[in-house]
Amino acid sequence: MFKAWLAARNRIVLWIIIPFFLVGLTISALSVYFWTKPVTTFIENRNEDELKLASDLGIQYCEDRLNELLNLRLENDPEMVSSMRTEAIKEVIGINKAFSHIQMMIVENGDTVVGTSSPDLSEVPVRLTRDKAPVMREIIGKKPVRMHFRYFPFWRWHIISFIYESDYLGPVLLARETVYMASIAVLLFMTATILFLFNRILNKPLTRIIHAAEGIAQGRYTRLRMTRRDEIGKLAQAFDSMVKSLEDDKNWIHAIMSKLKESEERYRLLSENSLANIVIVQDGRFIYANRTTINNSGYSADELYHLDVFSFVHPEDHELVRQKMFSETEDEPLPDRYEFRYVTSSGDTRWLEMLAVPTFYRGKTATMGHAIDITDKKNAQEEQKKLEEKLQQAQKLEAIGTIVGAVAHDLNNILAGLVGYPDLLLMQTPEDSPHRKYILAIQQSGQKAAAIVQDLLAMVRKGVVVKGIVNLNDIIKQFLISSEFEKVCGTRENLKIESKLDSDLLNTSGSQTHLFKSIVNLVYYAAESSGPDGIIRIRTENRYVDRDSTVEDGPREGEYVVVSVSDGGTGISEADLARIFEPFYAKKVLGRGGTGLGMTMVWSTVKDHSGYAQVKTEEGNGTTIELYFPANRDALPDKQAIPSFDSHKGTETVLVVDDVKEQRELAREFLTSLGYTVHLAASGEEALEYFTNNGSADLLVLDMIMDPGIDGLETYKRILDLRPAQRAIIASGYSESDRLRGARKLGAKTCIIKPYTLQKLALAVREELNRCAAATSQGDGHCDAEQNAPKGIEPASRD
Amino acid sequence: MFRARIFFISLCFLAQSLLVADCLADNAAPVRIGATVSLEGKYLEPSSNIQSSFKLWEKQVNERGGLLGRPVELVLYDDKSSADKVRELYTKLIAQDKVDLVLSPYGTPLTLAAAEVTTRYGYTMLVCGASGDEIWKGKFLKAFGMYSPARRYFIGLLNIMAANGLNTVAILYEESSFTRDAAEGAKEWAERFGLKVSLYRAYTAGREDLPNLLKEVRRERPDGLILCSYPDDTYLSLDWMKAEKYRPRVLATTVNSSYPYFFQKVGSVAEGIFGPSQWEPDERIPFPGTKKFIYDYVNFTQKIPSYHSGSSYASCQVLERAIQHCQCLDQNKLADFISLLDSVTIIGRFKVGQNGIQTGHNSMLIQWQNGKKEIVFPPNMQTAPPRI
Repeated sequence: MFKAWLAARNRIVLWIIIPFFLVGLTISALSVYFWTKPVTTFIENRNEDELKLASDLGIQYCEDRLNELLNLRLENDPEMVSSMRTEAIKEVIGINKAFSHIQMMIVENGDTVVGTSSPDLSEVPVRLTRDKAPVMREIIGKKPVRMHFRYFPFWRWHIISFIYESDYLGPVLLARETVYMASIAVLLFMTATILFLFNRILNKPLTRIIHAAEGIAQGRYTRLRMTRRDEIGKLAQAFDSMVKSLEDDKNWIHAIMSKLKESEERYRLLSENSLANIVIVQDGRFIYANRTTINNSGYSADELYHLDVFSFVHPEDHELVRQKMFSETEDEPLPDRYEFRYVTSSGDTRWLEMLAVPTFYRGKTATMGHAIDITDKKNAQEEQKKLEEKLQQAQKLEAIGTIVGAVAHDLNNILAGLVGYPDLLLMQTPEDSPHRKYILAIQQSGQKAAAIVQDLLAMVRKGVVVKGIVNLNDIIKQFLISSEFEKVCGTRENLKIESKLDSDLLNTSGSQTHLFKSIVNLVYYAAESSGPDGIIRIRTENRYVDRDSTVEDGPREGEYVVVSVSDGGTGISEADLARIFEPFYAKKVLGRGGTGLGMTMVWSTVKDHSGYAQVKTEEGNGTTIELYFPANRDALPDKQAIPSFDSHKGTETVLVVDDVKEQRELAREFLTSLGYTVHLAASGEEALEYFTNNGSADLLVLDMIMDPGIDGLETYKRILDLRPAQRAIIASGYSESDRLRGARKLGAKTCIIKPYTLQKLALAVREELNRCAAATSQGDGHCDAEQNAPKGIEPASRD
Repeated sequence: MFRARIFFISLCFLAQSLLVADCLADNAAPVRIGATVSLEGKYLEPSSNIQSSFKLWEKQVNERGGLLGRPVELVLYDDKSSADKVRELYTKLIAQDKVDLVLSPYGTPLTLAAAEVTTRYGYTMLVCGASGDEIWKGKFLKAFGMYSPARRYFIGLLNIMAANGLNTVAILYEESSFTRDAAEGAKEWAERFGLKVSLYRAYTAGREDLPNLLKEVRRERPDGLILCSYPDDTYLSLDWMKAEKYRPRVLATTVNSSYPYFFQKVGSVAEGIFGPSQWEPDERIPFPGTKKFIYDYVNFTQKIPSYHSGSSYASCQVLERAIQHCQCLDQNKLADFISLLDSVTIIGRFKVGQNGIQTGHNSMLIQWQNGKKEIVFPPNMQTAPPRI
């Protein structure tokens, strides 16, 4: 049944029959209800009236009997009274004959039934009063009745008329049920009739039409060919026309669809498989975007189609795109090719090279764009540009370095005499000699010149950086009392330097000299850049960088000691900012004084110290240059008193190998004056020959660069082949890190920088000889330079 | 044999002729009928109605040729509502005025007084204005009542009260034979119908006694009050109730409550009052001559007749019928005829029982409803159902 219902629930006839039936039933029910109500009321009222009439009639009979008695003046005659009583009872009970559905009862004194039309009844109704009462419901004989009574005082009677409730409305209820059943029967019959007619007249032809329509869906174009003239016939004719039309259309559509399909396939092949971004933009929105566009954008297709085009384009390129993508008029030509940036859903910025053409789409102007993602290309270009810049800079520095290196080497050699010989002269000149000061001046000049050479070498990173644990505060304080400071102050009148130095500033590992020079150069630069107030601020602080800087060449995560030098000048433009550390840029472009290498040197020093330089500037608001140096928590070395030459004296044999005669001579003079036995070799080959010829030396003083011929490293190698335990120190104006490292690995741990003073030479020689002597006494043939290297002199390293 | 027959027949004729001669001896002079009416005093109202009826009958009977070929002449004296006066006047009427016939005065006390005289002189008297039981105790053999006895006056009312669920009734009455009889009858039937008589009081001086008695009634709060009194006391009681704004659920009075002009006289306080009546001037009452009498009375007096009017006219009817039947004015013959008469007058059946008490006529009960007097009992004469 339920399945049949499920199968039938979509039938029209069902949805006609059910409402019809329900409405019919409802109308019948309501009609019967509203009809029976007045009828019921009428019958109730009539029954009540009859009950009242019956009891009134009973009373009347009794009154008549009383009247008779009174008329006859026999109301006190027992016989007459009894006779009348009997007569009255008979008459009252006899009312039942006139109203067969009404029962009569006479109750005397409220408790005795003296007469009843139903012999079975002897039960007295409970609610008997002398008052006139309305028709009421009561139980008599265990059955509910509607009852009315009147009181007859003469005999103390209650004349009761009652009707059983089952008889009360029986006819009405029966009639109502009959009507209900009849209504249902009629409805069912009508329903059946409707169903029959519906089936014959409508259902069958409709079923045919439905099947035919279903056939259309399955591709069968079957005509109905009905000859009926009614609505169904007309529907069938219309259906046949429709089928014919559909068939024709189908064929036509089929042909078009084939072409469309082919076209679409081609389109998809071209568009969706294209590696380019193909879009159609109309009214500021994407109305088509191929797969590549969707993938590249990061948005879903739905999101992209709801996106405003300009929310896709990089904000800085809005205007560009607006001008280039959208034409004001149909005739206005659009530029065919341009580049712009767009922002993906993840916020990445990418580049597109767009080729856009105006077109029409669905009756409105649109723009069709064909774009290639050139982000990688742009990045590569950028990278290349940076690399080129770096290469340029490196080449520049390389060139400078080559020049400087070549010049420095010769200069160092030349300066060796200016630096070294004054020591000899001072040794031989009395303290009160008037020539002493001149000798000192010559020595100082030579030292300065040597320092400049070292700066140049440092700039090009060819210098030997002598590092130790230093504190920037000490360096700055040293600067503030130095002649360089006086010189800086002399550059302008109201120059004022304010220093704010962190008292807890950590140490750093670095070259005191180079750091000092850097401070000097920074202050010098700031002095030239300072504002009208002439104030230069120097600050130091400990700073922890907790994440790698995103700025190019910015500080990495770590602990740093930072020195910053600020001026209140005009600031540096953005264009110049990128180049202030270039050699000669500041002098040539910015018009600053000096050699033009100061800032380059600063940058070079920072890099040598594994630090970072950050320039904060704002045009019109001055510049702050911050130098970051890695913090070192080692303690500062104790200040060693330079021992007197007496402690440097010795009697060992030293072989000095240097291709420069003056250097050889100078060294011999120095060492001989200290008691050493000195042999000389002008080249590496000569040194080898020396040893081959059974020469020996306790120590080699080996120049690194010797042209022509083998250099110091090769020389030492070969010597070690002959004399594996041969000690050596390197004396060099600069050294290439690889060569120097090589020599260090071989055992030449100590290096002194040319031009060196007698003191430094004497110290290095003595200490090396003492170290090796100690190692020998312990049974270790080779000295460990890192463990036992003299303090203040560390191996050069480019790491 | 033939001769004896002839002799006997002749003797009869002689006797008859003597009788006729005797009867016709006075046909030239009017038939004089005497009575007293109370033109002042407590019986004024009812008695004046009786007088009007007498005079109407006098006129009509003379228009009809009189009685026995002789005109009728009423001889009426004013008894001033006094029993002594009645005795005096009836003695005068009979002894001095030598009236041929007499009719009764109004009211049981006056009727008793008159009956004493008429009985002494052997006169027949139709009692047309009294219903006290005393009259019918056998002392006045030639007195015949028109009214239904006073004891039966309130049967209908008490039946109605009991049938409508009322429980208690108070009865006040003047210490007088009629009113006492009416009260006793009311008490008897009240108990018979299951009603409780919550107060049963007599009074002698209405003006002095009634206010206190009414207060007592008010305290008792009975369902109904039956006031057995003559008109003056009735008016007095109604005035008191009006002033005190007290009214039991059922109120019944004797005598004047049935007057046609009672409502006009007392006003709206009359509404709902019950009263016994011997007859009502209602054209629906099917007694022969009723309609004509009402019409003639109204024309004659310009007033609506009361039952006193009707009953007094009916008594004249009975007297006329008796005279016409007997063809003489012999008191004994008339008495004999009347005692056996079973007839119908304008007020209903006339039949007397032992000692002259009216047995054929029953009183009815009226109630003032919407300013109109309706017959509410017996049911077969109802013009409107009673209102409780």
